Amino acid sequence: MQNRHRPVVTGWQLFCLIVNTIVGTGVYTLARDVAEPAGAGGLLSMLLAGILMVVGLLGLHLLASRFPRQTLNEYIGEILGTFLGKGYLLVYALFTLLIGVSVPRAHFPVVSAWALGQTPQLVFMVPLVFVCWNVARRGVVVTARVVEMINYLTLTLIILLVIPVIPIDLDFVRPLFEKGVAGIAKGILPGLYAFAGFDVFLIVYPYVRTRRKFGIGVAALGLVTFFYLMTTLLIIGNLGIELILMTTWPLQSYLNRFALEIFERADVVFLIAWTFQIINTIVVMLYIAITCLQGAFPCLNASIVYFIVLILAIATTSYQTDYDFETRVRSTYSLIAIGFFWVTPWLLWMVSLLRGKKGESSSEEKSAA
Amino acid sequence: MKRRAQLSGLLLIICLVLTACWDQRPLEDMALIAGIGIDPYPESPNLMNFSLVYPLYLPDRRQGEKIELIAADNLGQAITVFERQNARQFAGGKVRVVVFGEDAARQGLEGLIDYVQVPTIDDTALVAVAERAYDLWNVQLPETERIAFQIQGMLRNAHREGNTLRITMGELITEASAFGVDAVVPVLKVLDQWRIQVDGAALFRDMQMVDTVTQDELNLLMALRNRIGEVSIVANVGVSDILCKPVVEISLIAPKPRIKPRLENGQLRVKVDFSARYVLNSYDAIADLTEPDATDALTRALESYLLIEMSRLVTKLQELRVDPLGVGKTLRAQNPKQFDPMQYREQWAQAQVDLSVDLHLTRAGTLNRNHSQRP
Repeated sequence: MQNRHRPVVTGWQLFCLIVNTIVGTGVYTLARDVAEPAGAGGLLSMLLAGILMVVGLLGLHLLASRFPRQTLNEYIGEILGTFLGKGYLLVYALFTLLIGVSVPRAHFPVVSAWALGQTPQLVFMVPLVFVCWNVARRGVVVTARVVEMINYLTLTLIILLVIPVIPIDLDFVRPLFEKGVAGIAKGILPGLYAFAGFDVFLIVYPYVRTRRKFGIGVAALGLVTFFYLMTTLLIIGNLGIELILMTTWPLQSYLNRFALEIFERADVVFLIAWTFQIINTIVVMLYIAITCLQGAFPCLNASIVYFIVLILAIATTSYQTDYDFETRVRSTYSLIAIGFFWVTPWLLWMVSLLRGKKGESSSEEKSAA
Repeated sequence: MKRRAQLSGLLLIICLVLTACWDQRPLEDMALIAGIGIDPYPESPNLMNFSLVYPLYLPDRRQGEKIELIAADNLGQAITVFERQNARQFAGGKVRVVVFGEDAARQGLEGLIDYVQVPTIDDTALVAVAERAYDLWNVQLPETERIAFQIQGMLRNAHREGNTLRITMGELITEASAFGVDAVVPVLKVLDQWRIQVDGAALFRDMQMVDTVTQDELNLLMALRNRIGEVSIVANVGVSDILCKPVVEISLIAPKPRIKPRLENGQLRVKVDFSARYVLNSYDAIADLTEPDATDALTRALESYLLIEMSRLVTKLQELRVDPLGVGKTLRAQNPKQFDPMQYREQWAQAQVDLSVDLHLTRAGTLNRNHSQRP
């Protein structure tokens, strides 16, 4: 990695990668997930979750900036030793793959219920996963460029979604403290789940050619938090807490109330366009999984790693969905995964600090000095 | 050669798994549902009669509608039965209007939660109540042979003219499920074989219809609900040279009710400050409205009239224990610790309501029919 011809990711691409990896299927149910424990205070829970994620991002930044020209695969062995380092990468890859697989599995029931009722899961999943895998295996530059291209469509959707087209009833979003501070604190956990994927920052860090990496990361998290806050506000303000708790996908129910002249069913149009956002998320997750698996098994040929990831992804996504069961399982392991991605960089940073491990300075830092 | 074979194989697989092929339906094989009517099924209290209305193109190039009557537990089951009985696929993507028969509405709308759970159906469909929904579809309106579209247009225009309120399925479900607010749904009346009229509204308590209000009461209710830009009111007030009071037609512009509920020692006290600008549309009396004193006197008379009528309406709502004004919702938003959904209805029934009305004349675009006859 420390050669001259290393791939380059721009600051804008880093921003796109973070936003598009985080925003995925969580937004379908987020309003209900935070409103259940926190009521209208779920809005505050979202804000606090966003702030917590910035703290997590700081951990990633501190760790990665100690080894600015090395990838995680390269420096993890220096911090933890070869055996533990490989174990860490393996766990990292499995968690990422699990989240990456859960994204299309959570998306398919919505698509099936709303638009493609007759299409079998296998038929939907195989092309989707194959396309994403084909992008992810080509490395960081192709992944970043594809995500950037799709991002222009999905960013437009994100902006459109935060516009209050239907007037909201403010009495539904008041008072914020109806369930108390404890309720708001409980709402943070499902809020955190919606931020899964922010750790892409750590993986692509050495490829990014800008000195404002942390600032870009904070800006991306800020946009995502604002998006989540606004959609939750609009959904609660239109549907009311009681109806949200009875609804499977509150975002779709909210969009079903739009009747515009251009298109009569905003919910269906949104679902079709949002599939591209899902593609972005899966691409990045598969890329991280492939990268970490290569680090965990350096003796394996790259093609074999790609093949293993493809088979695992297709097999796990195409297995028939039990929505209720999966929702329960997903909410548990996603929290464990988020905890892993949030806590371990801080621990690794402290270990590297105590052991005095540090990589070479980047060329930008040298030139700045 | 090997690469070509791989590419051909890949293209073949892609063709087989193209998702659109699995869900593709020709338009002529779809029943594009325009109206849904819901009545009780006479022979079983557990079933409902769903009348599904969809447009047809008749051989002689006329447009018509077909009505299918299906007895089922709920809408989801009705859709299944419909598709089993018909070659056409149920397509509820753009339902124009949903009409509840009065008996069905009085039984309750619990099954209607299914409606929002069936994602293929449109939540923006307008809702109305009629004596019997099925009868409504059979009215021979002279303007059209597509009655569901006509009813949708009628409700929409009546709302624009300030004569009725507009409520969609989505809004009905929200108001029926939320604490502290109840739904109001326009009533459609079949006048005869050829005519339908929007006349008053049905009051709901949670998901159950409990009573109706007349068209005059509905106008006042719309003004108090703050959901409409302009409301027409016809009042009997003012000075006249004959025994009966003259008829005054006004339009209340941007009515603003400020509702301030608070609970004191278990007693609910509600202060309602109602203010609006008004345009005088028609005035049938001898008073000269170019004189400021005359307009002031008329404004005060109208305020008194509205105060009395609104108080009467609020008393009726309290007696019925329904809260379409959303007093409970406001109480919950302002003082959540004081709001108890289990006790609220009783508190509302016993509430002390302090109402005040403040009107401002904006424009006397009046047709004073007696003015030219003054000496």
